Amino acid sequence: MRQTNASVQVAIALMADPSGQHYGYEMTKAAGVRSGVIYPILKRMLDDGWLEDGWDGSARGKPPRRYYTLTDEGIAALGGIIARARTDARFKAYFAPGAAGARLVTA
Amino acid sequence: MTAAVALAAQRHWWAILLIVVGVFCVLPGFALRLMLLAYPDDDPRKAELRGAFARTPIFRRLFWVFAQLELCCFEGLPTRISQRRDRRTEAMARDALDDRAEEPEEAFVPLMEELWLNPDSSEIDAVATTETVAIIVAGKPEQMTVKQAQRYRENVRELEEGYENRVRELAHERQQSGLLVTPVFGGVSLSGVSNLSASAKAANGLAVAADANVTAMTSDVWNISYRASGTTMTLDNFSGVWRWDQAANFSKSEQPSRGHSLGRPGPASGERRHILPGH
Repeated sequence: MRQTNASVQVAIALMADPSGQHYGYEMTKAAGVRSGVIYPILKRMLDDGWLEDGWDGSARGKPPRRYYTLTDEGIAALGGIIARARTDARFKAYFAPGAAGARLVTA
Repeated sequence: MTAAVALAAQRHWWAILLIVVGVFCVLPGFALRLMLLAYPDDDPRKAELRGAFARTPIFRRLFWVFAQLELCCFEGLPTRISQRRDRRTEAMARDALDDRAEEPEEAFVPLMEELWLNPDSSEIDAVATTETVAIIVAGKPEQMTVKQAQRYRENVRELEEGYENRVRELAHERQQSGLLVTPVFGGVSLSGVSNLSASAKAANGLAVAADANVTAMTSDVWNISYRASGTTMTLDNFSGVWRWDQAANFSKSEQPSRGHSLGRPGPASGERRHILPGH
């Protein structure tokens, strides 16, 4: 996967909770990426086996919600993306003090 | 805001209510449903967006929905268009094979489908001969390439049994390669007619023949007559006489033919039939 602003932001958002369930709408807010960008990225990650998806139908009266979870392969791959991004000047802002990436690194 | 206050002051509160309900409750859902039509029925994104919409705060829905327009245009529409094209190509290939199966003892030229389906068959030899028959000049056929082979009942049975599993893949490949042709004339595939105009192709019941590398197989040799637009092309060097009479089938005539001629009238029986629609 190409190292772009969007892919790094999504990687940071996903790796903030590597074992949790991630939802598209929440991801757009957490990663700060438009939905027109995030869904294609999630689809690529699904195709690459980095993510698995499922449907959460627990809310009564509402249509089920699709969630994404990271696979082991995905955790390793996204870890690599983040490690490379940390050394890349283009993505410095995501790892500045107070930014989501900085919290991730120190966690 | 001031307009809303002014309206309220004029006791037009019901108008404000209608506008708010329309803009924030009805319009987003309606717009989303329209956009979801762009996705194929089995696309999980459809249900995903529906689920996300239900959980979006009501006053954000309008903006959220229009943010999905980009996704719908670049993800949903291309998928649906490609799926529809696949289905159409598959139906065309299936029709062509069905047509072929109807007359198992007719002269036979292996189509790409048939070579695909039966690649190991010793009875289908795609590279045995290539014979130039006519070319197209100014939209009229003057010389073409015919590939031919013999057809055996066994082949047809094998094809009938086998193609169900492979025609989908084939159709997809054909679409990818832009090769939309050939199952023409119920037994003979004409090729190398890329300079034939679209209208001429349609007029002659031809589809595009994309590959110039046309091959024919014969253990016997056949005389092929092709009649289009009132002109008959005859290919000699073949023992046996086969004619296509615009009825999309070949029939073996009683008389062997010699000599290469253009413009000789062919049999007039049979009805015209376009095997591949849309050309």
